[in-house]
Amino acid sequence: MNNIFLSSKLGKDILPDEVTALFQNSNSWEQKQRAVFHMSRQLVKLPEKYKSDDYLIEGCEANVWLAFQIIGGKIYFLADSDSRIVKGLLGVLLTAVNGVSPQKFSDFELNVYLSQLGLDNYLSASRTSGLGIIEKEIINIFEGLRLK
Amino acid sequence: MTDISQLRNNFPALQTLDSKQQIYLDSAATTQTPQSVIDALNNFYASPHANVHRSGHLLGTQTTNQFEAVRKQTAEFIKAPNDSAIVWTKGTTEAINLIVHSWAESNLKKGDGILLSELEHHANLLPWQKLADQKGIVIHWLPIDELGLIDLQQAELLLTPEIKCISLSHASNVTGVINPVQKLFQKARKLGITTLLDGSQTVAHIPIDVSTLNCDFFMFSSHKMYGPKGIGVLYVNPQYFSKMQPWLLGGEMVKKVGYGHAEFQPMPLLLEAGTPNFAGVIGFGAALKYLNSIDRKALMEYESALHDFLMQQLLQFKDIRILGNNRDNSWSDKVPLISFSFSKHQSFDVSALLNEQNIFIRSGYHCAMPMMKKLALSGTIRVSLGLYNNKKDITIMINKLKNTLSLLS
Repeated sequence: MNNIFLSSKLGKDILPDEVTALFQNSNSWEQKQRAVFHMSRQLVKLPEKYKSDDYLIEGCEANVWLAFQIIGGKIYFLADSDSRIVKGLLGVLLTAVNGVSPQKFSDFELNVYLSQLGLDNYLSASRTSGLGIIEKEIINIFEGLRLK
Repeated sequence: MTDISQLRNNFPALQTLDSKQQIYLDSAATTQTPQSVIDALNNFYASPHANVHRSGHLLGTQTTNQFEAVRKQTAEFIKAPNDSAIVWTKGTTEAINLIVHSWAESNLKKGDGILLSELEHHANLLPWQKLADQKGIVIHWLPIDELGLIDLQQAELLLTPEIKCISLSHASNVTGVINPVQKLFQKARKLGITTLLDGSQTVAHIPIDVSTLNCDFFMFSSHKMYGPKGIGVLYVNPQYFSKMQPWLLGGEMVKKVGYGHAEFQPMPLLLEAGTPNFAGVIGFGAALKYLNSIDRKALMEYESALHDFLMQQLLQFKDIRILGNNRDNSWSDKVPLISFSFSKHQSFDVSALLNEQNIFIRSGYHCAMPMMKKLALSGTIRVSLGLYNNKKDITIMINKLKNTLSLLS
């Protein structure tokens, strides 16, 4: 298995239920924050060639790079950010969408999943705190491919 | 004498913040509003009023008189030589755009130079860049050093014959450093160079005198000095009245209109087409009254002591980089704000975690992207103070900052 896009544990070894449990068992904001950092460590290191403007998501305060490949009808993502918080949020997001086919993807389910985590401050559609923008970008990717 | 520490009680918003244990340290972006300004706005809307400069009936005259009285108050506040030099805008950004359209477009020609500093806010960059693109005007840059400081002595050497205009911020919204422009502007004016000063970061903190500052245009926003949002002031040196062209065209800026030609009103109405935000003007009058009721010297001392305290507290962090300080961390005159970053942490992460702990500060580029790029910074964290902040706010912020850094490492 040489393709780096297939090497991510997210959505494969780490599943949404686990992440939901991790966040729901975090009672204080510090614990929640540590859970975010834990998720940041689950991302595969993004190869340098993807850290270019072509993969940069515009509109986030911290740099966010998102790349994907379609393999066997499913979409596989790699992502990185220079912010640890955003990286952790990327880990949370990709757990729900990595290796999912455009036909199976449901933005409703993604929303349900995210709303259970208690990350509302980050999820707010704020211009600067990125998750809303990243979520939208991912939804666009799935929807664009479904239309093809 | 005013007890500055009691002024916090004049702000209902501060009481709400206190009851939620939230701390607002972002007054350089916008300030909270004192009760007297809220009351003035309330009274205005609750009382009969008419449009200004239009209706000849009693109510029209009364409202116009109220409106013009604030123009007079504003002229006095910045020591403008006459009331007609005060033009209402919706804020600093609009005022700079207005100058570019009303003055620069018709008074500058291809090849002329404009001098800007590398630390300018986007509001003092983008209108000029557009004009430069359209008219072949050349922008010259006053460089900043790696500490984020402009060398104003160096600047005098840049006043070459092709420079026709110099436009600077009075204090940087990123570093807080007050640029002592008097001498530079005096020299510029002697050379026939037009001088523009963006006072949005200074008006709330230091007394302003447009004549000693030697500026031809000066602008600021009410919402950064405890006044209502959406109203601002442009000062135009009376010697420039005849050079101003109308920008927006419409009601009340004309004397006579025919099908095909029009004769315009003199300043300041020339630049105030359409119904102005006169409720905002009345509220702004209350903000001026509020600031005038405070012993400004005592206020400056209070803010400067608070600023010192904040600086000392921040300097205890080892890997902190403070913008606008000298190499030995001494610092010149500043408005009470400090921008900083940590070598090991993203500013975004630090401010996001502070936000989680109810500390409201701003991180990012502060609308000065070219400056951040030059200083190789991917954003800074900015703490900015208002007259209602106190040592306790800072102490709490510092404790939460310690939590944040330990969580991040």
